[in-house]
Amino acid sequence: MNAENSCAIAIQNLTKTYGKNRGIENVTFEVAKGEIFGFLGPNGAGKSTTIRCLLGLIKPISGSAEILGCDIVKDHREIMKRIGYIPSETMFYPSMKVSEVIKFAADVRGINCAEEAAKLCERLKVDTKKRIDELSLGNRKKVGIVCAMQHKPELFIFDEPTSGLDPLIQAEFFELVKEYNRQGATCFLSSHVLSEVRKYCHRAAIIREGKLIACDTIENLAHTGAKFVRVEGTNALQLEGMSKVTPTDNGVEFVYSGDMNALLKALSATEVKDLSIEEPSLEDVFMQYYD
Amino acid sequence: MTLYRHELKLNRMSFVIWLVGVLAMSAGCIFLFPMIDDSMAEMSDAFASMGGFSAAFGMDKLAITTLEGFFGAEIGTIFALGGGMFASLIGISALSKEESSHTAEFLHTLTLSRSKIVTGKLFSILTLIAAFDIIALGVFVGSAAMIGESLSMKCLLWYIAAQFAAQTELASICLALSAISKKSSFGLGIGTALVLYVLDIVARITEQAEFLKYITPFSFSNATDVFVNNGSIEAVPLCIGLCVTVISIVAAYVVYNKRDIAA
Repeated sequence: MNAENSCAIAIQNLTKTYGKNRGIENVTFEVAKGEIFGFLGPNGAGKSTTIRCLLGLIKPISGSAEILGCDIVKDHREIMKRIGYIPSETMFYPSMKVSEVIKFAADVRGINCAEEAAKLCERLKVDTKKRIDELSLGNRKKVGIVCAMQHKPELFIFDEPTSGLDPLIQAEFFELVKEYNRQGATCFLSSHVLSEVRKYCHRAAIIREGKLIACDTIENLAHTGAKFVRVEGTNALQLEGMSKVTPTDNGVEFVYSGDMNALLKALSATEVKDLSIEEPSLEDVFMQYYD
Repeated sequence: MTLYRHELKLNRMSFVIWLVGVLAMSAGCIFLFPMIDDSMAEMSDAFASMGGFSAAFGMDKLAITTLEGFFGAEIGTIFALGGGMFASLIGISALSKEESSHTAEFLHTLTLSRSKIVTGKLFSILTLIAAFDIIALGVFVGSAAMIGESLSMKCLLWYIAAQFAAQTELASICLALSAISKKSSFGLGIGTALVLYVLDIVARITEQAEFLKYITPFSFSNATDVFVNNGSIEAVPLCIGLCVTVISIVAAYVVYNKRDIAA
């Protein structure tokens, strides 16, 4: 264990395969203490595999990782004491009441979290008298949030935490994340929702086909040099560096990351009625990474 | 301790259903005994001379017209099968149910090591089996007293102890299978109990297959054998059974600690 480590999460060349199937390959990045860190990628990119390796649910075939200075393989119990986790598909024991599940999670940790749990249940509007099998996906997720937050961990690991939550509860959830973050907690969240990553995260990493392809601040990730181009009058452009090509009524729009002279030359050879070249939105930039 | 209590709570409905089902049938047979013993007296010799069939149910060793003979042939079979299937079911579902019902991520991201999870579940299984057998003992003694009969207390206690050992062996084998499996396979649990029961029948019917008695826990826990031998249990099959139990439990710990947990 490295108690002096300033990283909440430090991953070095983490690799996991499922037989012949790809999992993740040489994933390396760090999450600093006190950060809200986004982890982005399309379905099947390796986000959950990375998280499940970190949590000790699956064993990496090579590489290493530390959480709060503790080795993910050797110090699993110590790590679990100090983190709170919400899985993407939150499931509990169907015959139990919500209050029993929340108390069970606290009892296993050996902590009396009743006060914090009551506060969280009130803010997230959790009905503690209901049985788990009476709850919708969103309501189960809210119970998962309470279980993950009630012991005030140093690090939150969230796998798509807002899926299934209505917009009001999503906002309340991020308010809670910001509050705990102000108190010093670190948050690592995987998400498909770029707007929430842009709004709440300090930094983000992007994973695609099991490999990490970018890791930087949100500002730096957004400034890739790519431009959003909208052309009216022609849709016959075919250039290297064009992505997200969408034909419009009388033209085409696309994200362009190739040579600007080549674009101007191509445009000058066609009948252009109108042209706009802008900074792309964060969503467009992320889609470039995804494609 | 929290997980142990949690497991007991989750299994209580299954426990009550199996307990009521098996013991209602067993007690029902005891209550029927005074009504049929006269008619069985005429058939006793016939029952005892049906070759393999008599040997399979122990009717060649104890007269079915006595309560102990009737217990060995009828009630012992019901209880051995019912108790064995119950033990197999709670064993087979113990670990794999967390993955098949997608609660594994929740449980494994609390502060429990995998060994502690196996230990909590193992002790809850042992408690349920012990409770099942102790309540059964009370029901057997009470039911016999209600019809004005009695069973040898020494034999009955050793029979229950042998049943506990056999059920623990079945639960341990199924716990090891549960540590490997990602699906809660009730069929595998019931199948394990039934196959081992059939092996015991085969071992009793066929001399060439007598060696099978060393494989199945139903051999050393057979009611007729325990009553005929005045409470003594055949040592070699029992020791083999205890070894299988220990090996299965160790295998459950080793496998569960090493393998990936499904989402």
